[in-house]
Amino acid sequence: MNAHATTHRTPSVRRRRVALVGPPNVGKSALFHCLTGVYTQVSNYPGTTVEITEGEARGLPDTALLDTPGVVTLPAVSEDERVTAEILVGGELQTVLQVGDAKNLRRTLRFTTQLAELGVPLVLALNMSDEASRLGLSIDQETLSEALGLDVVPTVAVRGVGIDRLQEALACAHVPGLSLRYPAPIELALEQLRERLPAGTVSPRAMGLLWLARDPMMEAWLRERCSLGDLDALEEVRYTAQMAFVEPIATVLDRTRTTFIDGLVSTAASASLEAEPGLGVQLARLASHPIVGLPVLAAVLAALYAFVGLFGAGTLVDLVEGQLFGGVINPFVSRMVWKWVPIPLLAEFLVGEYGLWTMGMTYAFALILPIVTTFFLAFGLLEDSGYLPRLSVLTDRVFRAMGLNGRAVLPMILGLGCVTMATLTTRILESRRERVLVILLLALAIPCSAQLGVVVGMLAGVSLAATFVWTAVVIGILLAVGWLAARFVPGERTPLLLELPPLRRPVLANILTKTLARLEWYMKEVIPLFLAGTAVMFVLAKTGGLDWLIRAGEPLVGGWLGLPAEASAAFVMGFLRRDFGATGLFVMGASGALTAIQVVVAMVTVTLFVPCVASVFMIARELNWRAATGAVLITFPLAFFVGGLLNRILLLASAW
Amino acid sequence: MAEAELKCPACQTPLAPGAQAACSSCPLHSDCNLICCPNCGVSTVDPQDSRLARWAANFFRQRRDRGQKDPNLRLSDLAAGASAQVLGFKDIADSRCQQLVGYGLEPGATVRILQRSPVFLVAIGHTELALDRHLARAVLVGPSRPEVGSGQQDVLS
Repeated sequence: MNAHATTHRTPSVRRRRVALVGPPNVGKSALFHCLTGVYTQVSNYPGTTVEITEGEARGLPDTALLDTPGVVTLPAVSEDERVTAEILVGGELQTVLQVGDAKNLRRTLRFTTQLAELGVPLVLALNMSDEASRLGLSIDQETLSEALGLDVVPTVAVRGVGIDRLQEALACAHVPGLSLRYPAPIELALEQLRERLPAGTVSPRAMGLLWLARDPMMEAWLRERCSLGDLDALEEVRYTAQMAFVEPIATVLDRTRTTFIDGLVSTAASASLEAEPGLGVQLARLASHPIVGLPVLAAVLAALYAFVGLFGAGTLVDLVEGQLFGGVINPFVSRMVWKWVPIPLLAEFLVGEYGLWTMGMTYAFALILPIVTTFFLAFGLLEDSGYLPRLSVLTDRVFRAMGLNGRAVLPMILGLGCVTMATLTTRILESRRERVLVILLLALAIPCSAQLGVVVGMLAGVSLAATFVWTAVVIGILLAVGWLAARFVPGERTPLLLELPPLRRPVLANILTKTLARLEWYMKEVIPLFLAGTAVMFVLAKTGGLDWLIRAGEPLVGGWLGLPAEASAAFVMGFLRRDFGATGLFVMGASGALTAIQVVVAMVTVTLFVPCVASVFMIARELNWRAATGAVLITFPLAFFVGGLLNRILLLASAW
Repeated sequence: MAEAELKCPACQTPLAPGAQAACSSCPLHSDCNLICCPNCGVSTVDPQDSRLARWAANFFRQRRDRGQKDPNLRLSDLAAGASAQVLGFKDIADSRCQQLVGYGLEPGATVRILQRSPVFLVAIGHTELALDRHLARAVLVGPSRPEVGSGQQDVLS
């Protein structure tokens, strides 16, 4: 439907291109990391990779490896799957490395048969072979490799097992010898199609099969290259072939493949008696249980609150901001600057009230850094445990009210890390309608990690009740807007279909690497914006613009929201980044300038405030500029409306 | 979804909503819920475009369906803990079937129900799948065949 929205770089140099292809959450990115040394995010939930990453293969000369989003089957359904399908059909690949799940051999082999027919050199990596053997499955690679006519290598990507053999296999990869015989009418049709199809990177037989199975990507590809007359001839052949069967041709093809796989699996794989369900399996049951699942969720959230809100935003920030920066570094820097910088205005620009160091860098390093570090650590742990997809089971009913399904919980939760990245992750959703809805909700009501940490830290300083009020209001707005928006955005809801990965013991090294990678990226993005924001504030303060803004904002901020007039400055900062604004309020709150009610109102308002510049650009890229402008125009008045309303209600309630 | 056949009221030519070649050249074609007959040019209202008509059609279809006894056993009829064999699919799009097959929910596979609410959780081999009632209803099942070496009990309740 929207195949042009996705972009992937086309290579400028002629190199061998090897694509890693496989189902979601099978370990393609982990294997990619092993083979190239290029770091990409690795997690335990489907949809971690939604774009193509390219890297130089180690040990293989002149070879580029492509890490692709997971694809369950061809034809592709969602946007991220389409990215992969495009690469497979028209990506000029020299080799495909299929990454399969050793535990689910039948599924893996089904996809192998599809890939083998492409006529591109193929190597099969049976990943997670350690989990398979722990479950009592033994797989005879020799038999598999002989029957399929390709190299089969068992691997454990997260521990780097089998990588050497995989490199050898990749170096001498060849077109698989496998050739399935389909029922006569289909073979006849393939024969006829062979002469009529244009030349492409995949074999004519593969093209023919995809055409017969009505693969939309293949149809679009052919429509670009064939004249109308040729297309009619192709359609004619397909129509004749279809006449021989009651069911769609795709189903007939599937049956032939199934028969072949049945035979192969029964000779090549054997299972000993099923192992006792381990602790992981039992925990997984509890996590998605309709009743027990809720206390489990509450416990997870409480732990997150304690670690990020109390420890990170409380203890750590006190230590770093109060003791280290406030007590040692900042006085020292100020002294040095005032001593060595001769121009007072410049010195003030560096270490004054709105100084680059005393405001910009201090906010970034003393306040944001401890908070996001704790958040990313906790979040990485959750991601790798495999808990997050289980939330979609628990929340499906809630999302159904918003015209979505439980799958949407994944980008929403990721939005707590970074709304910009989560906007990209909405590609795992099937329809454009779902993407529009989720992107709107992300822009509106999902606070990103830094903001969340600041908000929770500040609310935790007030009372637990304040945290509950804030949570209830934000979730309430999320649901209300979601429910309303679903009524205005036309289209049908798509049913929930999601694979749940097993719960796994997280690997500490992976969490630490991931946290460091995220921190580096985050600080790189935050520091320039914080510095720019500080510079803007400095200019405004010096020219009297800030006083004017505070006076102009007085009716809105003071009258309607009931906040001190100085809070206007924080909201101006919030335009650049919500967390910048939140940090400004945090500093105000820490100095005792805000009452409990004011803290809650300010936090709700800043949570619902305009999305950050980066995420506006991402919305424009993923949808269009109209949507991006719309998101800003909706959120801004709504944030103030809700904040003011809450102020009135809380004042009334406290007067009681 | 079974859609009622739409015909031109004047000349009885069958019409396919949304596939009218003439529409793209018409200056009024955006946000237009009329369909022009390619044969005689008479325009008619597309009932699929009206929320009210869709709702009504759905309402009557559900009433009709409730009256009929469903001869098929569906995945959504099974109790938690039961195992069964997948026979086929009904009432869903081909692309959706392919997707289910891609996840291993293929005809012949043994499926075990782990949980029924809030959504269905099923296990096929070592794959665990969450699907909602709508999809579970679309999967036809029968008594499971004993699988070699899997050590699984075949309970069909």
